[in-house]
Amino acid sequence: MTDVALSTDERTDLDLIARWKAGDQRAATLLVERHAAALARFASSVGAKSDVDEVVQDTFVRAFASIDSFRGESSLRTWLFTIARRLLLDRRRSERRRGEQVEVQDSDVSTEYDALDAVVADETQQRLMKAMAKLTPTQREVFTLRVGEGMSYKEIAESVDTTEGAARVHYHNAMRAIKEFLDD
Amino acid sequence: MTECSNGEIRDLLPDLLHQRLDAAERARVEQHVAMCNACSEELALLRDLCSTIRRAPAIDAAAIVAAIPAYRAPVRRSWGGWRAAAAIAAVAIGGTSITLVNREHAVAPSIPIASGPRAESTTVGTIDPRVMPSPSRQTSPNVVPPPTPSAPVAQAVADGAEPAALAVTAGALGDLSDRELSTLLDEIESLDALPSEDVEGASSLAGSISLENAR
Repeated sequence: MTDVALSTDERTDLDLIARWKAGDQRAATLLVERHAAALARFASSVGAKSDVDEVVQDTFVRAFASIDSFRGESSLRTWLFTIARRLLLDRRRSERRRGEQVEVQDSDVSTEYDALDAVVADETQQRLMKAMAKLTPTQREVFTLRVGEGMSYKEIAESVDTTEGAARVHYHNAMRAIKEFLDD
Repeated sequence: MTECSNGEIRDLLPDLLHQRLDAAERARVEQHVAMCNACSEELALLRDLCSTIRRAPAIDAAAIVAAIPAYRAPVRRSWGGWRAAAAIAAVAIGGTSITLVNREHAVAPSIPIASGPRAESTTVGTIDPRVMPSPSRQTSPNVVPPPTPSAPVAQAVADGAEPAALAVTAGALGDLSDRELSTLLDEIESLDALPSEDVEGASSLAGSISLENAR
């Protein structure tokens, strides 16, 4: 693994955080630009619909508001994914209390990826999206982070609150399920 | 779609895709993929899936930055602050303890229970200022002295507790014989007159004061 490159990213993030603390607002912009797209991908892939913007914004607002609790034990991106995931879970719970349909069901494929539908017109990619929509929520989270972001199992485990071993199993089960869907 | 039996290599395909392998490992995985159709197909599939996942809605970074609050350095509490909090907590706990002890002592001499028929007609637990006891006042054995509210005692009487055992004439404790005093104390202990809620409340109060000051 190219840990050197990862460390460089982490150093950059830590440097930008320090600059923002010192009053450099440009550093906040750079941090948002570095991680917003990945957070949006994650949010839209794991169930956020029309509120991807809100989830990403809330994630950054919470992260910056509690930036002193980030101790650099994981990468900033992993930490941000953790916050985003918790926000998404909170939203699901509150929506559930309001009686809205929020559980990711197999029958919900057509609406699950509304956020991506608008930007993915390619037929092959539509098919891949449907294959991913067949995954369980946890499988989809793990698969998105592993394939979409290239995160290690250790980073994934930290983000989705599981173990490295469980993350590895989720990834391989997801890969197998996608292949089976595509073979049908 | 077939699946390669080499799980270790398949496990590393996403890392190869994202160029997260060191040179030696990358060469090893690439060499395997070049000879393995299953892994080659899986890598191509991963590339398509990655492309699909990474097509996310555009995010307005400027709007996000505008919503981010300015940095506020955490307020560090000095040791002096902690000492003050600890002192307040100690005073609160000590004060509560003293209050409870005083209350316990106050209950003992003021239990207004008398034996005999007149006791039955007296409402225990009702304060009548006209008959409030004074140290110099002597009451006859059958006169029910002014009661201090004592729910447990009232309950004991209502439950049919033995009047003789509880019989205490009003007045100073010094008027009681050793035996009467001993009987009185035994009965008080058996009544569980200390309200445990107060103790818990006191400790939680002290705790909340401590926490409040610790913030």
